Amino acid sequence: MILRFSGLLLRMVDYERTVDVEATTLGDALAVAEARHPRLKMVLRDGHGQLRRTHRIFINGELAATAGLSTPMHSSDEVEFLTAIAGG
Amino acid sequence: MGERLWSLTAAEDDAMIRVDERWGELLAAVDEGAADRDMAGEPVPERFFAEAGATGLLALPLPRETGGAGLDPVAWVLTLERIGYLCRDSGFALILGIRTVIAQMLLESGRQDVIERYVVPITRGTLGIALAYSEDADAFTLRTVLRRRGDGFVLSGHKDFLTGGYHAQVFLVYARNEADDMVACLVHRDDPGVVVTRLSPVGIRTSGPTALDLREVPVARDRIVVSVDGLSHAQQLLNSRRLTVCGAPIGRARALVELSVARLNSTIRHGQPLSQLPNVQGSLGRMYIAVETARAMLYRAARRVADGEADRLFDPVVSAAKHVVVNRVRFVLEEALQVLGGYFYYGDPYFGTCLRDFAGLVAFAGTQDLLEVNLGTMATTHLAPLRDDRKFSTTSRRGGHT
Repeated sequence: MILRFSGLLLRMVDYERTVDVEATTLGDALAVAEARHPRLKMVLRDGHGQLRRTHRIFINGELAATAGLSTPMHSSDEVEFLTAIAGG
Repeated sequence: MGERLWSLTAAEDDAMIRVDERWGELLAAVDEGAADRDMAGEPVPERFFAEAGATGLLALPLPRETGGAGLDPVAWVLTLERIGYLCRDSGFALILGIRTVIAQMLLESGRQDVIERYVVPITRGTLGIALAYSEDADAFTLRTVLRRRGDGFVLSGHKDFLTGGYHAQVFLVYARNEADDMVACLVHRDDPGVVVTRLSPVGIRTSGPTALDLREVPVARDRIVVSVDGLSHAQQLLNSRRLTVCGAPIGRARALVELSVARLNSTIRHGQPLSQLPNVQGSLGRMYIAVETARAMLYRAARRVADGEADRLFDPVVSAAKHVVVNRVRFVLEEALQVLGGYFYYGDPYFGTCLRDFAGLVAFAGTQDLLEVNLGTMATTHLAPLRDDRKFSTTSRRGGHT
């Protein structure tokens, strides 16, 4: 499956726009990507290891409002993370 | 150009009449010294917020069960618009807006101790609070840090650009914790190690902006109001703020159009009022269009929030509305400069005040530039060309909506 990153997240994956991983859940897929790009974890996850609410997750191009770490994934899936953060 | 030309629905009319009847006197009092305060860079006096609290203005958007009036976001932005129209002190409306947004966010903590100790006094106008989020860092490398010490915590760092910091007895401070997550806590002005420094901004000079130094400030556990994912909490707060910062400037832009018309009607050139020249009328038309465009966009965004349809962390329509409103009110001023010429520049210092005040709006609750980038990034995903079997799909197989 493919993880896609854009915007400020690109910096956290060394501007590697897509990351190919083998995984059966979203959490496993992220763990692989985080092992490759350690800064990603701090941005994507909160102090309890859960996905921050501020990220939008698209699975195969559709907003997956209820997606979580245990969401099952298939090898043909594409997951995109979108982050809109503004200052005060 | 009187109020008849502005589009006013019955609900909008009601909101404005309510403000005039209940707070007209207060707003006239705030307005009276606005020019002198702006010139001197003096904060709007705290007594006006005390009166705003005592008369229910600060509680308007809060739910009824907490002593508020349960005003929906549309009525609230209309109220702020009327305040901007009647009162030339930008700082007053700006502080009013941020205090109510913080009160709403604290209310959502659901903690009774926080509601009683902070939310209720804020809405009654007996407690000033300011947001301490911005600092010279990005959201993931905050240098303001909360560390454990004994049974409690200590907070160290520096925050910039606190609207209403001059008036605040309490600060909602966002900081990084030892797990590299963001947290939020309440710091009292009289806590040891708290140093508040006044700033001298370009505009909105009456808003009492400050910086905040935190030097090993002890923080009890019960002062931490967000212990996990404070980043999302802050983004939700800023999303709400984006809506509230827009109301008053639209009211001021309306008043500016009317002020410009009055001046152009009374200025005679070539034997006729300047307002009779076609190029001047064209300019006034553009000013009118700009104000109505801003109003339409803001009301639409507020309606979306009122109907529960908005994304609470970063709503594209709310963000687009903030962007449009700021651009349009600045455009109104630019047009006024073109047609009023020397009078704008030399004749009435209020135009200069507006130039500086409206420039400040570019930076509040996300710069215009950053909003564009965020919206553009969202567009690349949300508005991607439809493909294959997803062509007419509106509902995600995982429950989300496209």
